[in-house]
Amino acid sequence: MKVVYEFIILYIIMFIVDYLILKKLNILDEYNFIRKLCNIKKKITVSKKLKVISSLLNAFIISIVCVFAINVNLSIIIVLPISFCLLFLLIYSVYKIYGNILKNKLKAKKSSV
Amino acid sequence: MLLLWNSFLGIEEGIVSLLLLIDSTLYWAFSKLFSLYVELASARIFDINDFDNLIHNVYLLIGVVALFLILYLLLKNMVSADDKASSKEILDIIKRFIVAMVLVPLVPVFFDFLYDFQDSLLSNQTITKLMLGNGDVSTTGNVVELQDENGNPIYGDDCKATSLEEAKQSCTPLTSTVDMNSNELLKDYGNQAAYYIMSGFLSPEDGWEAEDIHTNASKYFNLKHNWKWAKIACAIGGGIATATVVVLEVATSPATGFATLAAVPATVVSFGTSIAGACAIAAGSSLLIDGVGYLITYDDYTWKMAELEMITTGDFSRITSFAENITGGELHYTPVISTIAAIFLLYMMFSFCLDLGVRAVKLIFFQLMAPICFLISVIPKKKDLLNNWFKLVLTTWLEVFVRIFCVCGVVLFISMLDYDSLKNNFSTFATAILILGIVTFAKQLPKLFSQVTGIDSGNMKLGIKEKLAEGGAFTAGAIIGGGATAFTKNLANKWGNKENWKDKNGNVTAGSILKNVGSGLLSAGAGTASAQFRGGKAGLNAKSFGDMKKAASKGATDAVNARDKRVNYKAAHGGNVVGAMMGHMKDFGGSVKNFVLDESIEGLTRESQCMGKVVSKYNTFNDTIENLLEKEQAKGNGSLFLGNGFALTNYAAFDAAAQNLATAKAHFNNGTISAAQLRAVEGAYIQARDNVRDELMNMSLEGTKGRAYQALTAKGQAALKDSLVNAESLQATILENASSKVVQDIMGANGNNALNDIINGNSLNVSSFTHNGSKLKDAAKVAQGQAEIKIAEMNKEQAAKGDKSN
Repeated sequence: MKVVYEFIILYIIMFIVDYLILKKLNILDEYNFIRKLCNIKKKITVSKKLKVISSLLNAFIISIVCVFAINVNLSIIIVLPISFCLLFLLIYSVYKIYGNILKNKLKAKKSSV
Repeated sequence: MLLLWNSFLGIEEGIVSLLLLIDSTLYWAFSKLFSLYVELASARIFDINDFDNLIHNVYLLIGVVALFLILYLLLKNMVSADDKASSKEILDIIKRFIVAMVLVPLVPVFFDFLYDFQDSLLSNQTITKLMLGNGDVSTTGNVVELQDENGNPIYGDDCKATSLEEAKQSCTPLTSTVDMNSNELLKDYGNQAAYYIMSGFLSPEDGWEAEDIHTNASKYFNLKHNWKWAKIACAIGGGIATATVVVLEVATSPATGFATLAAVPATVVSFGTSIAGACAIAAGSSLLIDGVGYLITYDDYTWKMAELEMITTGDFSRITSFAENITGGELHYTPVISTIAAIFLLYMMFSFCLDLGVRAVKLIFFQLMAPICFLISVIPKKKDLLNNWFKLVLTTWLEVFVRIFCVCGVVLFISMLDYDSLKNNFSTFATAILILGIVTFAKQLPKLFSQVTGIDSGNMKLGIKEKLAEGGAFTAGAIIGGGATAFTKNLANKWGNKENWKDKNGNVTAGSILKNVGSGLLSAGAGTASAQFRGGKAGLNAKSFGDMKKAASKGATDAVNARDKRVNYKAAHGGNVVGAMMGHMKDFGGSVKNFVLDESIEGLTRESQCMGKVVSKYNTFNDTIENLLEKEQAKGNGSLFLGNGFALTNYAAFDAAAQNLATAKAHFNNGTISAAQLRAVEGAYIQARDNVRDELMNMSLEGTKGRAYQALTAKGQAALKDSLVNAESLQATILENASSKVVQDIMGANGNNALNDIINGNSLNVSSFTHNGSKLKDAAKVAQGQAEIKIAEMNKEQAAKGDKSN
């Protein structure tokens, strides 16, 4: 249960940090990343909804890895490389799934027009 | 006369004693602060191991976020790996990541080394020894005979003499040796520094050796005796003076003499005050001399012994017993200047001590942040972060040495002054100015040192006020002040009102008293918290005591106003808690609705502004094309827009409608057709013109690569030059304001087609707009108007709410 609470708290904090700081600083360019990852040719309109979704995804990835890193009883030197691999897998898979959903939506939109 | 002369001598010695007492206190404080400074510098205030668990978790959390950012960039570059630059960047990132992972475990080792090296430099007094040497007062041991309270020598148990006289002849008195070079002495940085500086202002005169300057305690007891007479003399003198004034007043002015007599009590009181003042000074001086006399434990006390005691024990109070030697010309003393110098040095040391406190925390912070800096520096754009971190750590670490160097510099310069030569060439005042010059130079030394060596020595400003402001001391003051004021005001509001002590029936009962006591404390507590928050917010940038006071006052006033507003709101909503809660819930519901629909005044204003920009651009674009069409049609240059099949298909109809309109106008002027018939022709002309205009707009929006544009003649393309520029400008404005809901709505109801066209660089068609052609303008105006109406309504609502709550 403790892990769940930790996850929820971290998730909220990370979402706020990502949405209010990282998005403002424009450090991450998720939309181009998704386009390249899922081979979407059209540019994606950066709407508020899309920003919220990408922040939710980022917060999900970071908080899952943070909860794992805090609770696993290992030295930081071992935990960080493991976290690196975990993050790699999560970023790739989560954005791949989301990119495919977005791609299908865009296709559906185009055909309806 | 002798009594008066003795009194005068007593006053002079009393004043010198007083000045020496002040100086001794200041130099004692300086020596303690200097020692504290060295202790603070060498002390490792926090041990990183104390925060093991916290650090572990913080490292992990920030480390994961840093890793996330790195991986994101890595993946982004990997998915676009077709680019050579990207693959180079990937390799660069991996290389720096490995370096960071190697550096992270080395951080504690690096900091341990820095602290150990610092400890070794400070404990061995390397800088002090380099600059000041091992002390130049005396390098040989100094033997002092031990004496009892009567001033007789003390002998050891091995002395078998039966009387004091016999012991004096046959035994050797016990002695104590104080050695300047003992370890104890070397560790006493502060005493040495204070002594060096003080010796610049208080030292033996020419021809006098420290060992030859003796102080005599019995003199002080004589002085005390003289002061007793002085006290009696001042009382008698005061009485005689008062009587003389009264007698003279009556004698010189007999007519008003009795009137003057009426003022006698006032005169007596006035003189009485003077006498009391004079006697207070006499009594104070007598007490001071008592104190000085008390400090002297044996008669034969030399300046040499005082010097040694100052350096070894830091007891500067001994100098007060040398007032007589100063007035007697044995010791040279520069009063006032020595006090000013001591005050300045104290200020400097206090400021440096504050810096050291900050430095200790800074170093811990840098140590904590090290892994994060290392990991973030992996990101290509953040390469400099690692260098900045190293620079900051080294600069902060070096701060302590730069400051010690500065203090030692001042001590060195003052101790190096050749007073004999100075006294021969300059006046005492000029020498004092020179010493003060050295002290003032200390203020500039850090900056000069930084400029000469290139070592950034951190914030070397001496201003304690700025440091307190930076540290948030004034903000804390505003919080405390605001809280205290609101506490008092809220308590007074509850307890100060008689009605509050009564129950519903107007009677004072135990229950009503208890209730008011409780609600008063509750209100005061809530008010304090509220005022503390508001005071803190207002005092966030407080830079002085004035700002702090203002912020505290503002916090308290705002808290009290908020309380009054709450009371009024409650009264306006049924006068009970439930009513007020319902009111707040209703307001909250409205706020949520506004938030979700972005119907706040700010949101609507923003929307209106976005729409205004788009409409303005559209108008310019529209007007350019309409003017072009009408001008060229009037000239008969319609062929300009007739290309090879892709150009304006509606131009022929427009040309015909324009000719019809011209004919209809002529007929109307002749009276052959009615106004209604003319209007019908005009309507057909406008319709035809709009069709052509839309075609021209699309042509311009497609740009120079569009097929229709390509089909035009060179002359036709040249005529469209301005329209092309305006079309581009319109698209850019739409893109800039794409987040506006009104813009999105008007541009395309079905999936923002027009916007997507612009964003994706596709050819934009006027028909992509929901309200194509001229209707776009109208729709935008309607949307703008609606937003403005809503803003007005909301302003009205807010004003009504304000009235209700007041």
